[in-house]
Amino acid sequence: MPSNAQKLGHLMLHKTANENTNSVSYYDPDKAKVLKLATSGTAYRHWSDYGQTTASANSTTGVDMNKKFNLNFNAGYQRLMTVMFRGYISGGAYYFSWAIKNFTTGNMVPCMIDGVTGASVYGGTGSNTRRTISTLMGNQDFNCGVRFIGNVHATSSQMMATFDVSNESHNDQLGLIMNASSGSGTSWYSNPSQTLYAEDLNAWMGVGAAGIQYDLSYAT
Amino acid sequence: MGTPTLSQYIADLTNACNYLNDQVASNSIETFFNGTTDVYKVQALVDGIKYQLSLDIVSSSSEDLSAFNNSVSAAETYIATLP
Repeated sequence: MPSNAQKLGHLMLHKTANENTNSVSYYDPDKAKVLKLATSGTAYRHWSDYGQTTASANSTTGVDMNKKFNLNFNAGYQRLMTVMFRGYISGGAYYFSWAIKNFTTGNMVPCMIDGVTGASVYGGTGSNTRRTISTLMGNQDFNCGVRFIGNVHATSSQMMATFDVSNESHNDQLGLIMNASSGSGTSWYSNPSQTLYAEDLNAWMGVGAAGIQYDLSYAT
Repeated sequence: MGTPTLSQYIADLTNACNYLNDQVASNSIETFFNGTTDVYKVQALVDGIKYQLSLDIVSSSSEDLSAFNNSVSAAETYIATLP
């Protein structure tokens, strides 16, 4: 069991007035990763896009689903963003995965769930679903991709996932990307004979909030 | 693309049924984890094709959907033989 001194040594309190990080960071010695906790704040519905959009699964680096918004860091919201939507890929050889991309910088946005792969619903070890970020503990590699759940070839609510947007900048444009993938989500493929569909997207600046399913029912 | 159209759905159904027919012909037993349980790939394909066939834009169209329904029927016969 770690001593209190060791526990304190893993805690990183480095919020400053002009820094984007509006959450508490800590070092997990088991995962050798800097992880974050949400601070109290407003779970504000920051981004919603209910209409169905579609795109050919013709990329290996993420298909733009034409659902985008611009980050607003001026309102004091947490730098953790929870996203959920409904989607599927039409019938064919592949399954699908999804992620949030910063279209201003071209970077993927790290998912808060990291180091859980394989049969987990949070798959993603392929290079297209990873991002290397400079932290207080040096450069670290974070998961960005989320694997589908539900009926992969018919509209299904996807796993609610929280992303760390503290590495992005005010007014950056973020958006939903999807991609044909292996069943585990670890490998992404281009297959133009399949089509990706997305709808009923909601995102909060904060962790998961109650009432989401009601919103989705209302939206449909 | 953007908002889905009837021609998009017909293309999806054509591609999905071609793939489904191949999977049935090769006696596929591929499964995947849907977040809750393991599911046969052919079952998910059938469910997906049925889902798109049930959409108003497709079901109320003048398109001949019989080939798609025939693929689904053949696949369901095959699925009934799976353990």
